[in-house]
Amino acid sequence: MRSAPKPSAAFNERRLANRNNKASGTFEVVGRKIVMGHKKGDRFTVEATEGELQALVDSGHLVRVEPEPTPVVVAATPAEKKVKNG
Amino acid sequence: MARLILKNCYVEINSVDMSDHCSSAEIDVSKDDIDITNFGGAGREHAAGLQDNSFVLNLQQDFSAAEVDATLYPLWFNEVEFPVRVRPTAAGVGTDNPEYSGTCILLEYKPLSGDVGALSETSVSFVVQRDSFDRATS
Repeated sequence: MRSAPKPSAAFNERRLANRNNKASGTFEVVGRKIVMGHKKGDRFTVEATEGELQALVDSGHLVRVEPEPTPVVVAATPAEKKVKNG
Repeated sequence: MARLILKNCYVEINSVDMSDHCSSAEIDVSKDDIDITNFGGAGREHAAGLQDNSFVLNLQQDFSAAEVDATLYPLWFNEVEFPVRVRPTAAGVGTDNPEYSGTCILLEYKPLSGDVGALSETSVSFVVQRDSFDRATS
């Protein structure tokens, strides 16, 4: 049986240093248990310490849901417009 | 006030409802006994010192994903402080159903402990940090 890859010592040090910092994020409940009053499949935004959130993710209760990326609209430069219009 | 038969205690560890794997709950509150006896009397005199509170929960071990071991091991390994909440019943918090809570740390954990043929259970003591212990009635 393969075990999960071990994080580097530097990563572990950084994680332990930050574990009591406040963090927030959007998460989805993926485990069977009720987490913060939310059941499996619910998505919610929460603020807690990084350590609490990381433990919930590590234990398989939650997955972090990245917010939908906002599409970046880049306006065409005058030169590009000229080329387009001939 | 009606006597209470424990049937559906509410137990939450790091915001996860673990009531369905918990078979006993104990809330220990204590204060250091400081001896302030002096020459003014014939008996000892005591004063309350620092609080030293903990939650002792007996959990039925489960190694499935997002169950008992998966929840407790990261708390011990990552040395995280996390909330623990216990209520006499699963009903909402009230004057007749107080919620005891505290920010705890997990210093000792026995993932496996038991005899042949017995249910695998683990008794875990969650030590309350600083002055975070609270009794809420609303």
